Amino acid sequence: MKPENANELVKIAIDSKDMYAAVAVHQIAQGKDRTKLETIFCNERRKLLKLARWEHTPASVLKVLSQLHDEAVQLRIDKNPSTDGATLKQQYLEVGSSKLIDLIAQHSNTSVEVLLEIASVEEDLQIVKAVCMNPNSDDWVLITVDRRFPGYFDREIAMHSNTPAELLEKMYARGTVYIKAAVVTHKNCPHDLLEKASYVSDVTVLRHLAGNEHISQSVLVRLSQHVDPSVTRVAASNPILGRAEVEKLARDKVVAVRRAVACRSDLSPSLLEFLAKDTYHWVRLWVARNPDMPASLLAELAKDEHMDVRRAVARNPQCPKDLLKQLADDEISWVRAAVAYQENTPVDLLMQLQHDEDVDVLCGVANNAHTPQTVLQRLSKEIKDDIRRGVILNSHASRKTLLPLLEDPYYLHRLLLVGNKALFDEDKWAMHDDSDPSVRFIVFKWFARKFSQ
Amino acid sequence: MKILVAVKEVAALDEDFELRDDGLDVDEDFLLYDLNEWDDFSLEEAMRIKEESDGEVEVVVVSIGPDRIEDSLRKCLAKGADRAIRVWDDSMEGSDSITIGRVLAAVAKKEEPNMIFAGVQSSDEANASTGISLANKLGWPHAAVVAGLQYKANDSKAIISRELEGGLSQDVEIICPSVLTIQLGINTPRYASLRGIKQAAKITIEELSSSDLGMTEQEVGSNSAKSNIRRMYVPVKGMAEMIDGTPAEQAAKLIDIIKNFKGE
Repeated sequence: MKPENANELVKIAIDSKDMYAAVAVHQIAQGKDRTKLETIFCNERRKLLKLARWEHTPASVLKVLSQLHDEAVQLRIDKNPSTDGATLKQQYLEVGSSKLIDLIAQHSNTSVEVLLEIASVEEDLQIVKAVCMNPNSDDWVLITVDRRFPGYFDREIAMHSNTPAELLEKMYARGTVYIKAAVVTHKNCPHDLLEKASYVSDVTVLRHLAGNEHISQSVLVRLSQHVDPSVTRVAASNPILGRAEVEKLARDKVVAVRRAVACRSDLSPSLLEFLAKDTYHWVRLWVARNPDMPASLLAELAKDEHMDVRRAVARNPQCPKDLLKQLADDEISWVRAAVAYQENTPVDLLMQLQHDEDVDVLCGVANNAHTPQTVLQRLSKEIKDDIRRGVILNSHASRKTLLPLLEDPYYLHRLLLVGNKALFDEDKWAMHDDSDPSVRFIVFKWFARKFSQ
Repeated sequence: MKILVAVKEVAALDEDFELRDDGLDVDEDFLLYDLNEWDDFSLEEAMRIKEESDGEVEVVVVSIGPDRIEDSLRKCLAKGADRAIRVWDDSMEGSDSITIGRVLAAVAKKEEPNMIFAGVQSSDEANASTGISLANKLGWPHAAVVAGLQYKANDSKAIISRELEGGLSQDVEIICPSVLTIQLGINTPRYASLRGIKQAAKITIEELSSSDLGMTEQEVGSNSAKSNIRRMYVPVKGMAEMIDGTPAEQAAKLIDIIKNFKGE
């Protein structure tokens, strides 16, 4: 019988003596029940090490493990992405080992308060460097590091998203060309500095500057006319580049520049037509994907000698049905697979493609929301894992289609089904004693979350 | 027709492991156990022969080790092996791969299989010698690193394709019964079905000791081993240093190191 509330779920986990069930419900358990659960997963060092390392171990369990003061366990807790900020803070206050402090400095859940403390007192340069690279470090942490170690961590600080404008200016003035390049890419880089940087001769700096969306049109126009194609290529990718410059760069002799233009989403019909005839197939491929490409040009590209271009046509969300029908018979399976995945592919084509022998094509059919349930049911019996997974991931697969897959031999497939909205709670609960521990964990966790909402 | 498949539960290292106090091995708490990857392919090859045969083919898996290896044997049963044999007693502790081959030969004499498969090597010890030493003890023909096999149940010969250096393959005809060590990629190992797992849980794993195989304590374990581990350790790291920074910073640091080395 499936549990009806959190208490029943916790009791089942306790009775099962299963470490994975115990860990999954730990957060919703109270008082003595919580202690009983901890007895299940804390009774062997081997289990502690395993849980401290496991990326799915909930934060509440990691907190319990952190209080056991076993250095090998603590090392794993500090590496575990699920460890929360409070546990990391406690670890920082209690431990003295520089190895552990280094891990805390790197951790994405470490609070800015702890990072500031480390930045203020730590002498180990590797640890300070980790602070500079931690995305949680705020402007004040970075300023603190710069004051203590001027210029030493410019590379890391210049690339940090929270670096303030005044620090960026300072680093630009004293930095190498690579530091300057990082500064001019930064979202906080002041406008006058961007303007100033546009007059330097170094290509590395100019290339990075050309990609910044905050530069002025006049600077970008100048960079789009630069003699070095690595600069013009980046300028061609910049979304704020004006239409006239885009038109010019579409005719550039360097393929990489034309390819960058072809990747843009704001191309005019005339430019799309021009680029569709480019001699380089990567350029044609990108415009073939463009949803604004007229049907007549798509029809031309659907006959392209390069399969990647034909596949791009099949992937185009505006690809007409007659072209999809034509591409469904393409000699290359990779092209047919794109038709099978295409959300506008009509049912009759999917019915045709279900008989294809290629696994990628069948995966596409299995994934397609328009594939009839009878076809999905047949594909759910395929030997190839990827095809059955396609059915499981199909957002329109019905409960009847999915039920046999609850017995799928591949544990990951069973695990994926736990979150499926088409299945009833009792269907999911049927997997609570699954042979695979991660499936059991996910089932108990899913019910724990449901009861805690 | 019977195929004997020798399998091993191997240990993988957890990161940041600790060594045992005696310095001869890793502390068991830091080891993660699983069925040897090569043995998964050996078993699948045996299952393929069984399933393609019109007659009866029995697939028997055998492994040498303590209680914990039952997990790996049950995995083989769940995938379709008919029987599983675990060989162990305390006197077997410290056996080297040649001794393991001798014990497996004793099992083979008892079971009288028509074919024996083993993995090319185990992922933890990588001696690649168990299958070959087993063949030697039995006096059977053998072939190593088998990447392709044409063999039907009860055939008197098998055509095998062996993987050689430099991307070469070698097709060999071998008289059966023989011992083949199977290479990764020869087939696609199956997953155990849930029904298979449930059925495997109910099957009794046969247990044999060295005396059940007619072997004395002197013939097994560290007593008979021709090689013994003297110590296990993490080698001291050399003078290598990772140079961090931009290309320009790295070059500057490199110049500094060279100058320092030259005493400038």
